[in-house]
Amino acid sequence: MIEVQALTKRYGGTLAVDELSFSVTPGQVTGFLGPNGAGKSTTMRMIVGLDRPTAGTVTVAGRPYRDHPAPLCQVGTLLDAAAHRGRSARSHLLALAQTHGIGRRRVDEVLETVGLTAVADRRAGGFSLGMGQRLGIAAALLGDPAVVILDEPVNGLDPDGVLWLRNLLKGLAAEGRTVLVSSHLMSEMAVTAEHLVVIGRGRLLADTTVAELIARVAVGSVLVRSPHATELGDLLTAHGAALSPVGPGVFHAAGLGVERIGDLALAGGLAIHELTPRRASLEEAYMELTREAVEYR
Amino acid sequence: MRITFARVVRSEWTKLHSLRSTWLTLGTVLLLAVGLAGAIGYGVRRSVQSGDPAPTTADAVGTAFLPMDFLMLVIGILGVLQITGEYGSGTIRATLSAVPRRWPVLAAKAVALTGVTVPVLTVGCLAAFLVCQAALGPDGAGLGDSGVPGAIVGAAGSAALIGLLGLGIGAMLRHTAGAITALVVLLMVVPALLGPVLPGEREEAVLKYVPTLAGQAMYALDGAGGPFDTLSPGPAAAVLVGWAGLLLLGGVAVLRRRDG
Repeated sequence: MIEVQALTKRYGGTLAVDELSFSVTPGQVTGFLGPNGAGKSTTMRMIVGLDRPTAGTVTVAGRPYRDHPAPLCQVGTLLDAAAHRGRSARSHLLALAQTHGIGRRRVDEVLETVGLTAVADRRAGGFSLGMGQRLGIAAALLGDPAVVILDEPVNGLDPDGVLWLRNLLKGLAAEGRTVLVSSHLMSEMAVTAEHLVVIGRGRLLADTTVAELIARVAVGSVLVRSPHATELGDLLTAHGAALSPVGPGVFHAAGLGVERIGDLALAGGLAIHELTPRRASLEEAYMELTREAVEYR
Repeated sequence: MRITFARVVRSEWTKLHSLRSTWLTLGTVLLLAVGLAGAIGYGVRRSVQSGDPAPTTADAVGTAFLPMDFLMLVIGILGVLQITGEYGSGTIRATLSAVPRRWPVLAAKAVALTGVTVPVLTVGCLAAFLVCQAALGPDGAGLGDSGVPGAIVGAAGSAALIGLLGLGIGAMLRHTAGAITALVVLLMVVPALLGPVLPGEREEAVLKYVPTLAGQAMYALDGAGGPFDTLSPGPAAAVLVGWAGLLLLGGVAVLRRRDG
C-alpha cells in the first residue's frame, strides 16, 4: 500500500509535482501514466526518499520509506537500471543484498527470475539496454518486497522481454503485492494494468480503472446508416450534431446520443438501418486527458 | 533481515573489491612506490660514491619515501572514485534506496577503504623502505634505527588518511572530474601557491597545517628535508585526521541534504 498525500516538489521555479494525492492498493497492477516530464519519476523518487518533497507526505505500509528497518524487503524499486560498468551483475546485486543480510542464494534466485544467470559474472558495462533493465528488475525483487515500483521498465526490452515483464507484473500482483509501474505508453498499460493513475504537469488527472477512464472521457460519436442519409443528416445538424461522412448512406454524428438520434429520426419519419455508439479507445481517452492538462496552463 | 552498520560495511567492501580498477590502482601504486624508492636509493648511492656526503639516517628514511607525494595523490583519487563512480554510473540511487538513512553509506565506505588501504600501504611502505635501504647499501638505515618503524607506519597512515580526504571531497562534489581537480588543487596547488602568497612569518605558521605537508611530517625523522618547520608526527597525524574528518562530515551533510 502506497499513500501519497498532497505531495509537492518544486525545483527552483518549476513545479514538478503539484499537490498530488493518490493511493496504490495491493493485489493489482497500477499503471502510472503521463506524458514525458509529467512528474512520474520525481513522484517515484519521493516515494523511496531519494528526493525530498517540498510539501506533502508519502508513506509505504503506513510509514515513511526511510523509517523501515529493512526497506528493500518492504519496497523494491527500479528507478533507472544503473550498475557500475566495471562490476558484474552478481556483485552489484550481492552488494545491495548484503546491506540487509540477504544471502547469496537469493541473489542467484533473482538472477534466474530475470534470465541473467548465464551472464551473471560478466561486467555490466557490456550489457545491452534490455539486460541492464533486467538487472534493475532483479535488484527490485531482491528483498522479496510487498511493494514493487518500476519506472519505465519496458524501455529497452525486446518484444519477448515485454511479454515476460507483463506476466511477471501480473504474477506479482496475483501474489497480493502492490505493483506500481510507470509508462508514457497507454497501449502497454492497457494490457498490463487494471488500475490507472494519470498525471500531467505534476497534477492528478485520473485515478480510475481502465473501463471507467474510457467511459469518462466521452470522445465517442455514433455511426448512423440510413437510406435517407442526407435528410437525416440535415435534421441532426439542425439539432446540434457535427457530421463526418463515412461512405454512401453512412456518417458519424458527434454531439448527440443514440437515444436522441433515434427519437429525432422517428419524429422525422426517416428510417434507420444502423445506430452504433462508437466508444473512444483507451489511447484516445488518454490523449484527451493529457491534452486538457496542457490546455489548463 | 534488516540494515545494520556491519552489513553496510560488508556491502561497501564487496563494491570495492569487485572492481578490477581498485586492484589495478593499488598494484600500480605499490610497484611504483617500491620501484622508485629503489631507483632513488641507487641514485643517492652513486652520488655518494662520486664524492657527495653520506646521507644521515633521517635522509636515508626520507629518500625511501620521496615517492609518497605521488602515492598520496593516487590513493586520494581512489577515495574520490569510490563515491563519484556511483554518482557517475547511477548506482547511487540503488545504494541510497537500500540504505535510506544515507550517512551509514559514507561511513561504511570510509571503513572499507581504510580496510583496503592500511594493509596494502603498510606492506608497500615497508617494502619501499627495505628496497631503498638495500639500494643505498652501507649508508642505508635499518628497521632497528630509532624512529624508523614509526616513519613507516606514518607513511602508510598519511596516504590512508589522504584516501579518506578524497572520499570526503568526492561525497561533497559528486562529480569525478570536479572532485579530482579539487583534490589536486588541495594537495599540490595550495602548498605551491601559499608560499608566495603569504608573508614570510605567516607562511611558516600556516603551511605546516596544509594536508600535503602534514602528511609528509608524519613520516619525516627530525623534520628533515623541508625548507621550513614542520609538525612532529603526532600532531601532524592529528591535523590530517582533522582534514579527513572535516571533509567527510561535509560529505555527510551534502549526502543528507541533497536529493539523491
